[in-house]
Amino acid sequence: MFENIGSFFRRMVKPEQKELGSKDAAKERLHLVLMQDRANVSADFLELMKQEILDVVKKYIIIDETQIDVRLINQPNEDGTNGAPSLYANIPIVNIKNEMLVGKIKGSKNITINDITPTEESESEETEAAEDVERELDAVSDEDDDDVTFDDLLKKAEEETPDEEIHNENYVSPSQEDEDSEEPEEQVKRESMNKRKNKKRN
Amino acid sequence: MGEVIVITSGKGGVGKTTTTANLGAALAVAGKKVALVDTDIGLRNLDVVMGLENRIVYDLVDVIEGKCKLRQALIKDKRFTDLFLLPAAQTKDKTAINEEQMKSLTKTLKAEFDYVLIDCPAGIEQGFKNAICGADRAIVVTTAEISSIRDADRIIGLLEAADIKNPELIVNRLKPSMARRGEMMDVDDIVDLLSIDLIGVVPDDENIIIQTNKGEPVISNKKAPSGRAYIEISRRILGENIEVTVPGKEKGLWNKIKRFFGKA
Repeated sequence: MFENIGSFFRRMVKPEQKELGSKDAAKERLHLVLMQDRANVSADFLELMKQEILDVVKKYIIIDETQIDVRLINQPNEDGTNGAPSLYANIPIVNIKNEMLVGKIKGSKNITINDITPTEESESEETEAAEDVERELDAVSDEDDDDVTFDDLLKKAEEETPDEEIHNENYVSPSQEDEDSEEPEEQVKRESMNKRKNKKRN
Repeated sequence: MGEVIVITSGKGGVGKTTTTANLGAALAVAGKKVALVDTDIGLRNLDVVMGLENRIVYDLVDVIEGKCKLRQALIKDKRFTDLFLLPAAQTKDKTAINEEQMKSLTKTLKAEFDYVLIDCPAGIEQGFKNAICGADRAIVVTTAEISSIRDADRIIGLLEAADIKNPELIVNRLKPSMARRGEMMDVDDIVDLLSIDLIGVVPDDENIIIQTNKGEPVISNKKAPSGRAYIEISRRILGENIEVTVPGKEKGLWNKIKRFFGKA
């Protein structure tokens, strides 16, 4: 009873305070586990895949490893039923390593990968983008990764964009600024970029 | 022709046996002819929960092996008219019977009783398969704990794979005060995660232990909140369309006052 009276007054003092019990943690964990159970995907498999994705991403971008969220989600159909499972990845970026990318991902803080199956259409895009990247890489290939200049550039970019989360719908490659490209294609481009850069480095 | 309902959960210790005993008693009170079948061979408990352990002569395996007639093995509960128990064997294991034998047994029972409640063992092995194979309907029992919800989800998948459509959910041992503090998942969260129909919510209640100690179902204690919850569930089993009472969210001013003073 005293507990109730206490909480009554506490609620009066801070009426807008949100309940933050262990229940939310349980719910979130269960949600993940059930998804894995239902899709019959082992945690090892997901962990392995997550690690490989991150290894590639980490080569170019400094990411916040404590905040990474990679999981399987069920995209609901229009009629509300459970649709096909898809891979969701949210990787917060702390810093970007290569100056080449600065102009491209101005202030972008989050990468969202939803569907990494390339379509026929995006394949042509891929080669196009890859060529762009190659050209740019040639331009910068003589320089080493100079963190100072890069940081400066990044600061500049961050000043231009306010401190808020911008997903990569906002990311427009300089060569195609006039085109309104869709998100999945952008992701494919990014992938191809990474592939190309890997080759160059190795 | 009666209905065979299996009461299952996946995880052990969430209250399958207590639920079976109390729903059976509540249905018998409502005037139905009810048979309870304990399929937890080797770990029988429905007999002690119901206080009928001293009257066992024959068991489920004896009936299936043809050592006795079904009528001889069924123990009549003297407190309730038309409530019978078919106890499990204690000295055998789950492989002593198979699905075909269970199917024919439930078919025989169905012809004679209005409701046949099957107390399912924990796990998803042979015992579980035996328990569900003859069922027309399933009730999944879970607590608000993460492990039991996960197992319930698995069980729901297996029930659907076995063509037992639309299993119904009992959330057992809910602690309203914890749910209110946000320290326990509430009923909506659980229903959301498992996405099956809710048939009832049973609050955590000391009376369960007290009544079980005495070998009496908790529905005999009119003051026990858990007993009231079981009676409500039995009414929904019988087809009444009544709203599920969620402990800690009862409507009415009096309940609000009670809650404020920590009585509910």
